[in-house]
Amino acid sequence: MKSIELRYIACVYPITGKFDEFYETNAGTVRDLIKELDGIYGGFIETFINQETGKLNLNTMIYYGESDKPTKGVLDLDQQISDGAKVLFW
Amino acid sequence: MKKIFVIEDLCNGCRLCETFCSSLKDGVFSEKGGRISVIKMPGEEKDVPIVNCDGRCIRPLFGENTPTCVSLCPTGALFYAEQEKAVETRLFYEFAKKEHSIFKVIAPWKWPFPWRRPGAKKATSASEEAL
Amino acid sequence: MSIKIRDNKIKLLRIDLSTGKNKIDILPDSWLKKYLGCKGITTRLVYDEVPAGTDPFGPDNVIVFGTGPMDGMPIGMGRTSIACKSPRGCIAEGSAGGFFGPELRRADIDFIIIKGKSDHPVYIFIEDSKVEIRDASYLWGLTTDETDAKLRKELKDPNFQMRYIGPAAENLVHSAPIFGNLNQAGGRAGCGEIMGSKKLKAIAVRGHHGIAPKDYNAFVKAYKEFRKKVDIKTSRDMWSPIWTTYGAPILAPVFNDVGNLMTRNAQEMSWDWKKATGISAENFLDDQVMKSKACWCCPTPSCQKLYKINSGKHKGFKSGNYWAGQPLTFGSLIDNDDLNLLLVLSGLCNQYGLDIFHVGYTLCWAMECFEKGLLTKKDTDGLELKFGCKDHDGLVDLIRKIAMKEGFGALLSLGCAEAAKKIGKGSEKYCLSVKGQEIEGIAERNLLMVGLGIAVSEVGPDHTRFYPPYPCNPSLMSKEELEELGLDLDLKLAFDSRNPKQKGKLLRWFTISRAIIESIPSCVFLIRDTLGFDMRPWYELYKAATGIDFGYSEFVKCGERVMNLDRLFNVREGFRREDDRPPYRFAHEDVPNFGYKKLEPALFDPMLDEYYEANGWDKETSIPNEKKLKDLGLDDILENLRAQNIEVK
Repeated sequence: MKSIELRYIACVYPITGKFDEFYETNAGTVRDLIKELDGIYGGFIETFINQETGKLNLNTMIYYGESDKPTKGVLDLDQQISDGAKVLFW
Repeated sequence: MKKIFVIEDLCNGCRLCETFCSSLKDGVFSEKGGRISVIKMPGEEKDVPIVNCDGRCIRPLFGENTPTCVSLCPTGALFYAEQEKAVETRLFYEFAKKEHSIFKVIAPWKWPFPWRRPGAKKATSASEEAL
Repeated sequence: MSIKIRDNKIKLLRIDLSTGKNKIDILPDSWLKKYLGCKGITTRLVYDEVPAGTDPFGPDNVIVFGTGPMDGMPIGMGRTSIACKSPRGCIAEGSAGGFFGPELRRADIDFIIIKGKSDHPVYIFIEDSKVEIRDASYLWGLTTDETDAKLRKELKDPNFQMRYIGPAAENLVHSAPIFGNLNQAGGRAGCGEIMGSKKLKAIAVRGHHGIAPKDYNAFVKAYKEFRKKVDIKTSRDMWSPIWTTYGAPILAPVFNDVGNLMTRNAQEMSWDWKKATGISAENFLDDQVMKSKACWCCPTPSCQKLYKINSGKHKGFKSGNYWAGQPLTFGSLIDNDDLNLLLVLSGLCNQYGLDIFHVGYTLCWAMECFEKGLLTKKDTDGLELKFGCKDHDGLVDLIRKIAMKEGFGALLSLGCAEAAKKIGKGSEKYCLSVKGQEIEGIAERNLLMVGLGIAVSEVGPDHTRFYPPYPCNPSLMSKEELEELGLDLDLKLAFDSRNPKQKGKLLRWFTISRAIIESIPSCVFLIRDTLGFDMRPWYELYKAATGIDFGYSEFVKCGERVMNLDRLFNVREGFRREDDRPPYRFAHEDVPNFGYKKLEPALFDPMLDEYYEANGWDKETSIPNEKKLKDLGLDDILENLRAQNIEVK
């Protein structure tokens, strides 16, 4: 199990109703995490994954950071998630 | 019969409706000559579209069955519907606004993302209440 | 009812406040083909009419209000350019939105150039062909909202549009802008001070003409394409939905995590997640927002918002426009997480007619000085001026004191650069300013193009000259498309914001395209999707509106010409390469915790070299070369510079 911190702002705020939470997951990639959150809150797959290309929707962004690396925009939804990561959805 | 309805709270006073409407006949942009006019209250505190129109544009720029002003309105302050549907829409708007403050500034039917409806556990697609 | 349609002649209303006389001149049509309009023409007018060495506060400095062919058509967004010579000696050109621009064009006037000085406060009244200079003594000293209300009452017709100054500009406070529609500010580079020095309190205009594009059908077609790129349902831009609905305050949490959020006078670049979300747009919408407001014909649902404080000691206070500057200036920079206090300080700046960047950056500079013992309570009128200061009354009163130049406010009213010179003791190192003007809140060591752009901007820091400051999505433009557009850019390198290579070239392109947008005019905030790179949709709109069909490359050249005009004015006033430098802190300190490097000469100078070289400017002096001036058809300016013994290579 990985312990990660999730952060939600802007367009995701009317989906989750909260700004942040600590979350336990076995999700391997950002894509897996999105699917998991979709199961809890609804709306995540539609917001973030483009149905035609399978890539990140052009009108959204996800920032991913780990404690010893600078936070960066997620370009590849299949990038790995590490324990202790911080993921900001908007 | 469909009519144009106004949600005054959503009007941001941009006057796109008034400007384009005034141009539909002669191709001249102005503040007069159209069938919709926006009154701006002092102190910038209220913007009120006054519509005197059945929605049948003399030249609908965005499709035959949609009034030009309704298509142009960025916030969704104008909508085109039958009376009964208009009541339903207005109530829907008020409940949505109470639930999510983002709808103070944009109509839910203009919002392109899923959102959680009042009373629901999960968010659903934006497209389900197309007017 | 028939409407009088105005013709397309470019009408310049000349007003001399010393003599009280006015007249209308017609500018040559060729000026549209050279400078497009709005910013292009206001800058050219200032260049022509304000010789080198003119005293900015004297009667020979001018202030120009300008519109372009798009004003009055639904792409103009109410943009008005305001230009003059800044008290700091450089060109001062800024723009503001609202409703003034279209109203002026409907009054059958395109530009107003005001010279001279009045011996008592006046305002200019314009209604179609009627122009009067009226006494404004009863308005002098009033805040911007009081002026708006009183003048509106006197004029009776609620559709008069106005530009006015607040008490700060009357008192010649540094960087005071010109206001309109209550909360729309423009010309922070010095225009408000110049207007105040001329004792000009306001301009009120009403027009009744209609404005017709040359080809209405082509205009509508081009407009629909434009809307597709900008509307949030169809725009392929990650900033479109959030900027245009929630609004820019959302940047506080977004920038916080990436190390872009200037905190405590930029000593750090990240604040605190809870504090950042506390002042963010979601909470603002939940609590204080009353409704959204827009500029004329803007397709953005909610750029501006009117707000009211609903709790606490400032309950009932109303103002508007909580945007990108304030989460920094009255939030993270001064370590204030109380959203009510932030909104009150911002609203008071609007009412007094102050520049929020000047006030915010000077305040946080003073806080750092206080914490380091360079200022004491004796200097600050007893205010414990530390970061996170909770003395609401003290801070609120300080805003008033800055506008009125009273007590400690008198020092802060100078701006941090001049204030630092006055107190010395090494305080200059903490001053975040370029060319004597405070910066604007966008991270410079993470986004290298911004670091370069803020340093080279001729009016002082102005990110709108190359907005947006973050790279747009490169996947939207193919290599072939870039070649077609003639952009000499290595996309991969250019869009890597932390790689110094290609930044000069990218900045050059952004500055040209923004000069085009500011000149046609439209709003730089609508650079969404590919509209910042592909200027063809803008050209189609301009062509349909004016009938000018000189080809896309000529259209783009106009933008380059306008960009050069800014530089040429400054060169004539003695500005050179040495003035294009980042603030001290950014040049000497790395960003803690994020590892972004300082903009030291080894990093900064090659970017500057690349920028100058790409522009055809001399690398040592930054003076545009003879070849470039001739290529742009600015031979008359070439002669003018040489006549003043300025070496043009």
